[in-house]
Amino acid sequence: MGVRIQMPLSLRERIGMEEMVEVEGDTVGRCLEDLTRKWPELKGELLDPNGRLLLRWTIYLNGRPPSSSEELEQYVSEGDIITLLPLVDGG
Amino acid sequence: MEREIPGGYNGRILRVDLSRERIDQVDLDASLCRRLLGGAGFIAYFLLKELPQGTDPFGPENKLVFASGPLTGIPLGGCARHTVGAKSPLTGGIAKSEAGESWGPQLKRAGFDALIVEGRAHRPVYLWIHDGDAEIRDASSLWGKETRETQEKIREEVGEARASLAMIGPGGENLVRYACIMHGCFDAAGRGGLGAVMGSKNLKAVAVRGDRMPPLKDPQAVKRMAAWLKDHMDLVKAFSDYGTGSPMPRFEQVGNLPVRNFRDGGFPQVERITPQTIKGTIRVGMKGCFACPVQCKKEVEFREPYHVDRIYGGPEYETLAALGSACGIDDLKAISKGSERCNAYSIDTISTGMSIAFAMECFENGLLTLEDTGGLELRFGNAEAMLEMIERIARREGLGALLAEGTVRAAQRIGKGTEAYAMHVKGQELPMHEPRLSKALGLGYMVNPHGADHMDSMIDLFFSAFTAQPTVAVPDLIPLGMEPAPLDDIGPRKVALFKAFQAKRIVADSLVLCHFLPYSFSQVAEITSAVTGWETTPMEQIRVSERILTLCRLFNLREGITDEADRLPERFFYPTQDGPLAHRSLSPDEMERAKRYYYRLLGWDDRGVPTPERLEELGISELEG
Repeated sequence: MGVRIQMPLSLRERIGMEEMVEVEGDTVGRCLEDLTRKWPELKGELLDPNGRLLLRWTIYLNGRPPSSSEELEQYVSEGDIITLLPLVDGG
Repeated sequence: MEREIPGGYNGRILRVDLSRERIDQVDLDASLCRRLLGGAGFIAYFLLKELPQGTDPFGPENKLVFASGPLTGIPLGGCARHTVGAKSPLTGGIAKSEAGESWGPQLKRAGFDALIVEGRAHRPVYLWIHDGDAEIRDASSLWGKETRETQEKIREEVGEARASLAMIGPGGENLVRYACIMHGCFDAAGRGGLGAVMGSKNLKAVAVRGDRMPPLKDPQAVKRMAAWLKDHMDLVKAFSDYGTGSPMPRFEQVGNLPVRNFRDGGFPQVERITPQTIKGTIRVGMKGCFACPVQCKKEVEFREPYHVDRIYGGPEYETLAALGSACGIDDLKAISKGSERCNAYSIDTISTGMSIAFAMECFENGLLTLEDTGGLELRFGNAEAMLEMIERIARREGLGALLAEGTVRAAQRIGKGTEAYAMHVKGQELPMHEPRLSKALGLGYMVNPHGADHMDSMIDLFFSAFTAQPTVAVPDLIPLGMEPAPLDDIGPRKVALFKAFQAKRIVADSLVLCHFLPYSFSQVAEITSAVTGWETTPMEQIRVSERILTLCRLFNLREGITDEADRLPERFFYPTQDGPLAHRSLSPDEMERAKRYYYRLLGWDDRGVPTPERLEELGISELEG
């Protein structure tokens, strides 16, 4: 089993994906790239042209959010779960 | 015209005249319910109708309105809120601010939809509202007390440990122009100086307790929405886990985090002050509002180098940035102590932080001296100076007395060009999102009737997508015909999108519903229908928002606040000194054009004056003038 990405409900409903999508890659960023290779329609929904995660998403790795802005550089290994969550913030 | 009181309302308003020590219970005009909903809508209506032009915000004739909405207190996440309003001592225009906790639900259960306080008590008093009754009680022994002690003593005195308190600390008593009203010890109706209005009336607190919720039209439909929320908690997981502010590292990376009074761009030490760091170090729990499963309120506690009391919660995002990066401070414990003190004194953390940041920039530029600061090295990054200034502002001591006036008045008093460092719109200090990065946000700051406000503004970047081209798409507005608009733009499509977004927020502030819950606009209308029995739609609710915004506009115009006041500080027309916004700024002409187009969408003329036809169409002609 490789790394799995848990997809948010909003994208699952719109694109008709499963909740868990298996991807390949040794960092969070490369896993997301693999995801967008498999689902090209997701590319502009998740990443900006510089390959950065859009502000409307946050990611958790194994249930924890990143502690720094270098979230896409985090290393992952087999069995890890990346969770993609919507984010709106204020307050 | 509706004659019967719809579901979710009591149909009763409590009116208190503190000068005459008179309490009246009056019927709510049923026709107002559907046309204004409640909350922000009721506040706009009552203030416009009942305050004479030129009312002194600190005079007895100003009215402090606490208004619930039909959704306040229903058993559904996000429905614990109410709105407070008055003529603002900070802006001179209309002020309103929302708070959670359980005060609003308790007011509703005590039998009232709104409380309107006027006059000025001859001595400090508090109100005790319970189960359809109300009384004025002496608060002389409470004057000068911080909020925790105030809450404890009043609960003891009324013999009701579950009573909810809206109250002020020394900041409100001392008329700090941005004093807030604390609801409990960590929920603030934060903006506009409402706590100072309360202080000017010698009103220390309003305690409420009630058990009788008015009937809802379709309780089963409300239950179904609660079940939907339970199934969709992933949409609010970041709030539940960390509270507000978990994207701070990315805010800093893209330039959304204000740094040193919006002067600078980079704050690489941001990781020291994030909610993630809070969770791993000083956090001892999470709390939430009445009936809300999200539980987004941090509680922090520690004893060294300061003692911070968990009863005051923990710093929200706005506080982490206002007392933190905006002051160049990366000391999490100092920021948490500052948050605790602001809540104890009842002063708004945003305006407090931005007033200190203003003074820091003045000091660094030699426009305030050590003599002015009473020996404080008031430089960016000096956490101890920030904490000391909070004390002085709340007590109006030394430079604190000047900063307690807000940045505009302080700059006018200091002169020497310090106006350039006052980051405000209409006199209200900017909140903690960067307008150079999100043009619709900049427009939102400009045109908000209450001054710079983030809660009713759309932050473009939060809704960006790069599908065919860079766009801003708000998913629940697409079914209303609001197509995605170009991202880095403030043309007519973006303005229209912002206006629709703002409408949803104004409606939420009137129902009164938390902005952090993930209900779509259609779902908001569904909930409204379930509670009230109206067959309503987002289309009707957008119309209501236009009516409310127009009432607010009429109030401000009557006070001489015109289109000239709908503008951003000059600073935003230049890039930051460094960081991701070093080559990015707003165009004043472009923002002006956007503003005029926004006026047109509201049915106002080029100067932002609602046309007679528009007033007639909205059914509010009689309220003009």
